[in-house]
Amino acid sequence: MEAPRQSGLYRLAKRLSLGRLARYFALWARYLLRRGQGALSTTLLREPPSGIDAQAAALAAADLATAKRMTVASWFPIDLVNARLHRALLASVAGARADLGLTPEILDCIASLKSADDLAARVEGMVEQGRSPQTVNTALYVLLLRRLPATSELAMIASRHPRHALIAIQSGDEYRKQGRRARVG
Amino acid sequence: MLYIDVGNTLRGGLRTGIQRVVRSLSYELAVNASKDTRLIAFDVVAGRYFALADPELIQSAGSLTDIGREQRMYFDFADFAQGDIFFEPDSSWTEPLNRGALFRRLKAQGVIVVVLNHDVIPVILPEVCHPNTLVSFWETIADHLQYADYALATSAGVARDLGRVSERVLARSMTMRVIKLGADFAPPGSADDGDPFTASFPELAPLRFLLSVGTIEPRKNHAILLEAFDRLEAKDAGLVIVGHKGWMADDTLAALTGHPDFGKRVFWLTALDDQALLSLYRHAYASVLPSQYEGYGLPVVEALSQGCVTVASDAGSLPEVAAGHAVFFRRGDGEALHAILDRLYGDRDYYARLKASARSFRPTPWREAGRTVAAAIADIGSGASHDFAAPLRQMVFLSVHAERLDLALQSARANLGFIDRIVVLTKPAAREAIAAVAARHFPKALVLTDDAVAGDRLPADHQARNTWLRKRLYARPEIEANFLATDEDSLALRPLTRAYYQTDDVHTAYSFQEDIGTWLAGSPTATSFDRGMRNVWKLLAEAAYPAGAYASHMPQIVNKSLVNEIFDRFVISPDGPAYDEWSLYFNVAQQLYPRHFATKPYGALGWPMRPGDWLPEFEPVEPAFENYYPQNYESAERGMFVGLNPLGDLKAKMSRSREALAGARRAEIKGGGAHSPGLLALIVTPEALKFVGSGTILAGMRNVRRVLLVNGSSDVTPVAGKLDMFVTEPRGTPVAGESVRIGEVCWIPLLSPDKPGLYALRFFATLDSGARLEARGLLTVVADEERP
Repeated sequence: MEAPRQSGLYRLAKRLSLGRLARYFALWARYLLRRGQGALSTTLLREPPSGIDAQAAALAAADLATAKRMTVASWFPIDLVNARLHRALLASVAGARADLGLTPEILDCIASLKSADDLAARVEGMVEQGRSPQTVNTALYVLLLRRLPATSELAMIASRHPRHALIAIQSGDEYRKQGRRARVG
Repeated sequence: MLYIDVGNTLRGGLRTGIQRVVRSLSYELAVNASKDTRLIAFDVVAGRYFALADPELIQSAGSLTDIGREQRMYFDFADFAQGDIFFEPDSSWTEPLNRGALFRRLKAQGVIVVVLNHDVIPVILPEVCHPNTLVSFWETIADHLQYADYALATSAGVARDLGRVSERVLARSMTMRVIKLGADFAPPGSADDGDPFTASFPELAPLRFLLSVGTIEPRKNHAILLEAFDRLEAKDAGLVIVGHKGWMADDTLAALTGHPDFGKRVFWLTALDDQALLSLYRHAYASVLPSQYEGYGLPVVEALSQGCVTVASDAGSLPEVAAGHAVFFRRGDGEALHAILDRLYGDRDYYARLKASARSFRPTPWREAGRTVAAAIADIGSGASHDFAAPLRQMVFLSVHAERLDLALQSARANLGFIDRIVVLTKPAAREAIAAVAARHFPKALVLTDDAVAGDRLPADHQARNTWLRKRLYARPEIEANFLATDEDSLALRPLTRAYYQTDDVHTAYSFQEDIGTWLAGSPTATSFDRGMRNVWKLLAEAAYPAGAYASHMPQIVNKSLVNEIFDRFVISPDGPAYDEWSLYFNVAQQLYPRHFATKPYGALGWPMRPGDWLPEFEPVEPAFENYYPQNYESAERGMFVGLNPLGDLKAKMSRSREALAGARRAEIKGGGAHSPGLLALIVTPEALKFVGSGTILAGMRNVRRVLLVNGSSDVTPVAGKLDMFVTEPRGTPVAGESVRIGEVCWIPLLSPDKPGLYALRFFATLDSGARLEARGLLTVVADEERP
């Protein structure tokens, strides 16, 4: 295949390295613009946010493969407990059954659930806010489905569980019956 | 080993509905079908599984409390081994052990997870379910959809509904097998001597009674039956409802027990044993199941097996399991039900015809049902139906450039002697040229076009299109049981035998990276290939499969039926996400059939085009192929293979590739002399940037160094914005600069300055939130002592 003919102007520009010059000027312009913007309104890092130093230390100590894995996972987090799927499913059933009390609050909590303790804390908050018994009940139930309640939480669950609740959380037997207490292995 | 979790049935102690299925099926599987089967249950207190010492216990024991310590063989989770099958036939949504955590653990140990799905009623009819059932079922079905390698469905209707749910919430399907359940009630006339009917139910003797069996709950729709019954003119008509009180049943029970003829013509019976129920079926005028939905409808099978005229709604799987022997009305249509019942009592010929039809029904014995389920599970375990041993002799190409295909086919003809036929998929416009090239090298050549294989609806995205085309192509009848999948860029460089890919029924796959999770992708722009890699990594990791990288840019052996099974599960629409189809196939395939797969390091030169593009984890072992880039032969591109023959010169290519890889490794990770490379990274948070850097970089190195870009936000909130990076001399003069979009790439390219010295790195970020952030770092550039 024959190569396209280049114009004289193009050859002259190439001889004078015009493209390189243009890139160099563009680099300067961008740099000066950024510096100017920075001088006006940049937040310089003086007090790093909590955790960033630990992250930096972990990165510095990592081999290349581990550092790459940390980098990719930081932008594209894998939902290893499928919280988003659970949330989508429960949101779907919440639409069909408003009486369940599956509020957006619970759903958000499920989606961002890093540990069941988050949900336990959310349940505490719901009780303090005087949320409906069914809402508290459902939140408790989701909590029980997820893990063994800590001993310290038994009193909270037992005492704050609403009357006429659909799940009776009053005795150890009921825990076994209703709650997914066990961890794997 | 086949493990069958029967814990929920034993925990509840019931013998009806799902529990009847679990007891019968697991008994058949453990006692009659396979010796390598363990019936297991989870002991909450011990935190361990145990196996029943005698599988007969599943029938003889009422509940867990009937099973003593000496009858429990405890074992650890670590005892589940690769290739074992964990079969869950039970109502696991009320089990104490979280299924997601359990399945993840099992799959990490290489165990295949098989679930039996009885129905998806809480999804289809949430309004008729108990709130607790809804929450726990939805949580569990999510785990089934996400993790189960296979699902058995009790009917085609259940399989259809389950597939729809999966497609709706996960944009993928499930790999399913439809099984038949059994019914072992003795046939009519075989046990009349012991029939307790007259003694047990004297009040029913003068009645032509309707029998309805099932838990009292809204889905069973007893209300519609009661209404229809009340309108019957026959004075000797009776109604017997058999079933425990379920949930949301107060209204139905009030209507039933408050009926003026309750105890005279209307009855509610609970806790009947099998003999009593059998007797009722035999003496009933007709059996009625007016359910709003049934995944199987055991009462229909039981009634028909006793020759009882059966009337049922057309909901769910009822027409399927009755197989034409029952009469149906539209779900919820009380008028239609009344009309049928009225005719039953008033039209003797009509009744006689239905009676004859019911008597001709032949249920599947549990023994036979057990055998079919055992066969399905055995096939899942062995992979026998996939024919991994069928000889590899076909090569399947995707190609649009005739000149490139010409090279690839020349190389295949010269070096892959076991290949004697090819299939090429191309675009319609290229068909003629491709066909000419194909025929020149392989007399047995078939050329297909995109439109003929996949229709007009093709994804615009390159990776998604390739995946979709391969899915459609691999399902074609012209594709053989095992074939080499490839594209036009793969050149075979040395003679290979079939054993390179296939030894008996073992296939060898070639991987170029152990974990796709380390794939950084392109910068400043991620490619379609990159997105496919990322999507497949996410898909595999979240479904608890391994995630090795198999897009090794060389031909790979593929099993037709298995790849179709996997693609049918994960690639269900041309509009779906783009996946790296090679990694999808091999990771799932190896998890399912470890005995039939071996993995080796890849053997393709030219992947990457240059080691400086991205640093390969390992060097190709005994390269046999080249991923052909014309640029690698061009001086202007400073290509690795300038002056070499694309179809030969293997030793020279290996030497140059090794040299280039060594140079890239020296620059990036190994160092030497004054050069001591370290990690360069920038952590981005919504409030601050932080540079992490150590070591040196080589001056004027052509290999691209990387500043890793790390999202440092503490939650899942994405950080997005524009980032500029400048390399400046000590006096502040910029010598290089790069711009990237934060949130779209994982690294910033860093072209090193030509002169050694100390430089500054300056980062300026403008986040979409409006925040402007800045960070600085130092860059030590040293001379490359090994550079000529």
